[in-house]
Amino acid sequence: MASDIQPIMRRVKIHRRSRMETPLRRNLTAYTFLLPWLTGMLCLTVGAMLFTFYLAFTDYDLISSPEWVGFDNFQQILRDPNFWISIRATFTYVIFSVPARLIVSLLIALLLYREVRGIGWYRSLIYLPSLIGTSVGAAIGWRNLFADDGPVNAFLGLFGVEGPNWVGNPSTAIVILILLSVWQFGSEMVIFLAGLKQIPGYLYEAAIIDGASAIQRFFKITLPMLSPITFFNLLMGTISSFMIFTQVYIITGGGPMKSTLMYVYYLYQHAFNYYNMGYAAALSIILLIIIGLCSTVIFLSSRFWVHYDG
Amino acid sequence: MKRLKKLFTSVAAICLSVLLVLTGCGDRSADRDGDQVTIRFSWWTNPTRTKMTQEAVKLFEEKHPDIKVVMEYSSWDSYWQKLATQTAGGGAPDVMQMDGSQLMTYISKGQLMDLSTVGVDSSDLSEETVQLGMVDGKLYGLATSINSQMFIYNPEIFEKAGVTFPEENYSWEELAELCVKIREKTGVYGMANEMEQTGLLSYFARTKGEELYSGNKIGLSKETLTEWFQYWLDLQEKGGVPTAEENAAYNHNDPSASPFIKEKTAINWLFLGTDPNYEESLGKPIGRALLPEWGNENKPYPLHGAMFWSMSSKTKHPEAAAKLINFLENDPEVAKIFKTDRGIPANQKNMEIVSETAEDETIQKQIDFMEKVKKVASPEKLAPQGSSEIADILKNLSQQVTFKEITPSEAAEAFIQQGNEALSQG
Repeated sequence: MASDIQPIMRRVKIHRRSRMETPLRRNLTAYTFLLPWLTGMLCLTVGAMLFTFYLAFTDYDLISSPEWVGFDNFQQILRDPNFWISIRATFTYVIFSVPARLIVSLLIALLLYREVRGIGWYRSLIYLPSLIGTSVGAAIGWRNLFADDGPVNAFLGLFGVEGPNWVGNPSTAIVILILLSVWQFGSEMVIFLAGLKQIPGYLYEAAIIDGASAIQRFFKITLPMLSPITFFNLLMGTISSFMIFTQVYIITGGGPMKSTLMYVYYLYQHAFNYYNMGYAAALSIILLIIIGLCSTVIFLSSRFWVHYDG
Repeated sequence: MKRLKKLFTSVAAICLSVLLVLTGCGDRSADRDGDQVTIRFSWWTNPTRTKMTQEAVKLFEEKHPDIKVVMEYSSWDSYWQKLATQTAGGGAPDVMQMDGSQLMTYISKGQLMDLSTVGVDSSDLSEETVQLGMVDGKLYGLATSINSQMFIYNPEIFEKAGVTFPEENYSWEELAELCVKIREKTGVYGMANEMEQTGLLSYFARTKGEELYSGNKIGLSKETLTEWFQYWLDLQEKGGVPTAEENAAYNHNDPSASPFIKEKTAINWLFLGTDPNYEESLGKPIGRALLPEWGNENKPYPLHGAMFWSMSSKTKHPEAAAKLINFLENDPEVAKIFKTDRGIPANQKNMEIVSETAEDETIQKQIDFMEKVKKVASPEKLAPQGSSEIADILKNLSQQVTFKEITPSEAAEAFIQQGNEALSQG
């Protein structure tokens, strides 16, 4: 028996080794090319992330060395009224801005889907705001646009409407942030546009022959066929909306009356204004958990509304 | 296998050469190069300050060929992040520009040198000015320059309203009346609602014989705080200052977004030093005035250190660092370069030089104003650790008061409670 097995074993071994070797060699080349990126990622991203996990359990003011405090930071956060205020503000922002942006980007993608002369120009032009969307300049411009005596209120004035003091009013300040986010629909729109082009034309032809109206075609063909794209945009949009910062920093500074105290802005205050690095690290871990949970919910729900086959 | 080996050797070779280059760099920036000593000097900056300071350092290196100065400069925000990180790693610069709000943090961590023990010369400064950077009899920061809170006003609007700024000592009540009168006559608000400014609150407290901080606690009584919130709320009701919404939309720290520039307010509170920016943006000459009750007997007017020179307690070359501080502080040539960029020079001889050589009328006005302040001022205590959070606490409570979510006395209570909590964590 043993003599029978041995050659087989040897063969298996050789077989295995050769199978191992080729991918290893191939991958090594790849890894070498990846080295600059990998080093950056390991040192700058993963390293910093692990350090954050450690800091979350410490009291650390940047100047003296971190002091281990266990779960103190987390207990404090749960008792911190500002934490709950920022959660409320952030969720309000996410719940309104993400769907609004999805709808607007889909509508504009549908408009730009039609092949007319110079459509390439229109697409580029409409994509333009998104290129500068999160920049400091755009935020400052936005602030001036909605100033008390700014163009928006001047425009409303033409219709006899006296516009509110957008930035100064606790209930309208968040609206400016949501509108700015909607204005940055470009990347979602491009992805929707690509998705629209993937939908085979024969589906529409068949539907037209069967006498389906345009609205029926949109709801029965376009939307279901686009659902994987919608899913992707929804997920990415939700994650990025949770992390809104620049716009808050420049336009509202978290005010008035904390109505726009977004989570990451609050985190920033603790980290770089008050030097409570440990507290800020704990806040960032809680944000990670929140985003993780929201993503999971979106993933689980996708089973009911995302269709992957044509 | 052979190819694999070759790959490994080449990767190893690359790593090795990178390592060599890196260590090579390290060698070059080592402390001693022959007989030359290298010290590091850092400051927060603006474009003109960068040029001025570089020029001064070049002059220093010419006069002291045995000392080489490595300059590190950045904007205000990144300066503190960088300095804190460097300090944590034990690599703080030998000489650094310090701010009064940060001094206590660094002092309490044992990071700063007592300058009086290493031969820093403060003989040309007034005793009060030297005191600004002293804690427990030790000199941790040498004031480079002094400045002070003040009002600027728009004389044109004043004329239209038919009012003048009081020359003599005047009360808080008179200021309120002035604001209301300007509003009634011209439709322009007297000033922005400054309820949220810790600096002005601190001054208000001093006119009532109290201090904003006492040690590591809020030093204000509930009565004084209530009075403060009530004062501005009344003024808001009477139209002397903007409505809650208008006020919340102003960015108080950005001169270009200030209502004063847009001629929506007639008076503006600020620290001496930014006044020329306002004057330039307004495009008209401005008036400069002392705050209410400046002439009270207890000398409430605070003398404020605009910036300080500090030395790291970990420095290996205290003599060289002290030479640099002395040069920056006391050299008349440097004074001519710096002018009033860092504030009015703390060194009195240099202040005279700057005053005499100033071609700019504004500089002369600033110096004259500071002379007036010096006569009535007493030194201000350094803010305790954790005081940066106080500004946000006051801002939030002020907004709640102006929007009438809470009453002044509720705000006073909350300020004391939240403030003490923040300071105890600091």
